[in-house]
Amino acid sequence: MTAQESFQALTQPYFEKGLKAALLTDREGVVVLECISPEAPEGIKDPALSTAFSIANNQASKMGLKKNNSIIGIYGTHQVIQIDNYPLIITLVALSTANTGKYLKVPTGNKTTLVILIKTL
Amino acid sequence: MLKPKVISQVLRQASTNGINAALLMNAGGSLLAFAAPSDREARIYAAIAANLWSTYLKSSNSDAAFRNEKQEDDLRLLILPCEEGVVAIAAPSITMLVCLVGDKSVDLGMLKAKIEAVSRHLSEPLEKVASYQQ
Repeated sequence: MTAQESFQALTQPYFEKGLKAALLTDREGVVVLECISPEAPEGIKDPALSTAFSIANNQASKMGLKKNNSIIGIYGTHQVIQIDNYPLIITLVALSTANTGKYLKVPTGNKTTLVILIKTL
Repeated sequence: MLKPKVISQVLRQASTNGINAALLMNAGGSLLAFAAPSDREARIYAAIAANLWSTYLKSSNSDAAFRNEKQEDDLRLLILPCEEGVVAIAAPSITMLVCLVGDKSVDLGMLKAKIEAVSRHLSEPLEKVASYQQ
């Protein structure tokens, strides 16, 4: 099974629960793995989102609350959940009404795939 | 007219059950009112929260991914879970931001409900102030 296939298998169950796209990118916004539904909003692969996260993640870690793990941005119709998995970022785009707590648990199952990728990087 | 004493009371009401600080600031990070353990902490939270909000607002405006040219697709809320706590930021008006800082025992759903309630409560009087600024 390729890394892309295992990433797809891991995120596929969440697509039935409001997930529209799952991306694994580096901190500059280069997409490593992706799984995108046809109903996903346009421009989600724009590197601006990942670069905004890397800046914000760094700043939020200076608030005196120790390290920032993830950032959840809720927009009118969508929510963007970005999880830090240094040096990579998991970006999940879902409907704003979807269960955010469920998506925050995604990286625990993805650990093996991520470990392989991080090692190769 | 805005009554600073009343705003502080509203923010103090939100600072319960694990919420350590509640702040009202302008988009530049200058505090208008706050309920926090110390002035220093409040100023640090406000400066960083305003910076975080502007970073995300700029990125969402530039790629237009979640806007689709509709106002209802604007950024509404940011939640930042950290190792020792959690921060939530919302914009009750165009020029103002509300920020809640909680410890790690705070549930994300409760934090979201709280910041939405505070933001909704303050939005009407703050919109009036914003119209004078423009």
